Amino acid sequence: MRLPLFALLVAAFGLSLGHGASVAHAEDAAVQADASVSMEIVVLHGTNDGTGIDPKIGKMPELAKPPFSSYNSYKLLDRSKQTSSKASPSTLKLPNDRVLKVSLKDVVQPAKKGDSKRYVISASIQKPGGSDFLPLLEVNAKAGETFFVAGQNHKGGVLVIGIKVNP
Amino acid sequence: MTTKTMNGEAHDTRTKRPPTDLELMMYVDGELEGERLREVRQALSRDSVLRNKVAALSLSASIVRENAESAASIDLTDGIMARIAADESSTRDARDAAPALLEVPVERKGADVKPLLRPGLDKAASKSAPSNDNSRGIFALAAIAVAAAAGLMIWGRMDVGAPQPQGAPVAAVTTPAELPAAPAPTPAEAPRAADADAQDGDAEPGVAVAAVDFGTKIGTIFYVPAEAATSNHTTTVVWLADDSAGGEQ
Repeated sequence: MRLPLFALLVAAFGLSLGHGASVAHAEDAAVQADASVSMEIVVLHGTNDGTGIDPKIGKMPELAKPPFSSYNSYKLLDRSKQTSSKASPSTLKLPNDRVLKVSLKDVVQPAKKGDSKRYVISASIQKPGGSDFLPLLEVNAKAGETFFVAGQNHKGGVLVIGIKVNP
Repeated sequence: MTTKTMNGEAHDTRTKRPPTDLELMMYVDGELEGERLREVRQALSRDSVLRNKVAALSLSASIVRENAESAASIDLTDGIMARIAADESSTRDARDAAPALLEVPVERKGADVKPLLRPGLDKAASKSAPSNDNSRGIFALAAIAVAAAAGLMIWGRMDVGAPQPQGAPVAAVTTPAELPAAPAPTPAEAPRAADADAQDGDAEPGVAVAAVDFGTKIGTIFYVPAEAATSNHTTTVVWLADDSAGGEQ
């Protein structure tokens, strides 16, 4: 009697291990499937010329808060959609001739049920000569959340770059 | 044992040495013999303290012997076999039941089996399970297996958490006042910027900075409060100016 029960327990344990491995395999497959992501990149020009916020920018209440509130006017210079993956990072030429490079490094599955997955995004800005202005910025972002890289001088103001991972 | 003094007079050292407790115990147990037995008897005849010691040792020895004999007289085997025969539970299979039916068929019908243990040991015996009752072990094994499986599954899910890049550069985070190229906030805005910093621990940022390398410059990471963002999370702003430090253009 003991031997069959022990065998049953071992079988149950093995099944649970197999289930865990299959779940991990499925998650890996999901990561591979999501290895490409669409992003929206907006480029704004912040100045203090008193023209206010460009309506083309849309709803962006952050611009009224520090540190953006140091400039009273924002104009939309560019809005583009980029697709990035681990293999092929997307690049965008900025108005100051620098190049923004954005790449997807990883997709992190939610640790808890109900949470959304997060995207590990790497960004860098290179000068025309090839040297780095911003060597590395790596963020862990939820889909639909925007993060900004700002501060570059441009025509009496600053450039504000907003990067959002589309759901 | 005898020794000789300087003047050649023979002197027995044992007669002056009182018997030790060990020797008294050996005397009580009847293990002392020979010349030392005679000397101990002489010492006992002279010393009442030694006699009291011997009496106490004799009493304790008798108590120990009685208990040892009574414990040895308990027949555990018969009691266990009787309980096995009386066990009608479903945990027993045919292989367990077969010899019991052949050997003690009468005891199976008579379920009233009196324990053979002494009254003082009945309580402890009643708490112990029958020798072939492996249900506890099975349940324990099952619980361990289930717990291990659950732990592995949870661990497997946690393993896909946010990866931390190895050797990533450390973010150089400064306060807004330390950033010369960043726009200096007006006096009215400065407290709000401080509030934004204070809320770092309150609201989870929708975007978390995992690593940042500003090169030779000094950058700043702002977290704009959630109420100012389109989402419910704080907004992350990395501010890096051309002339913040290092003089590069």
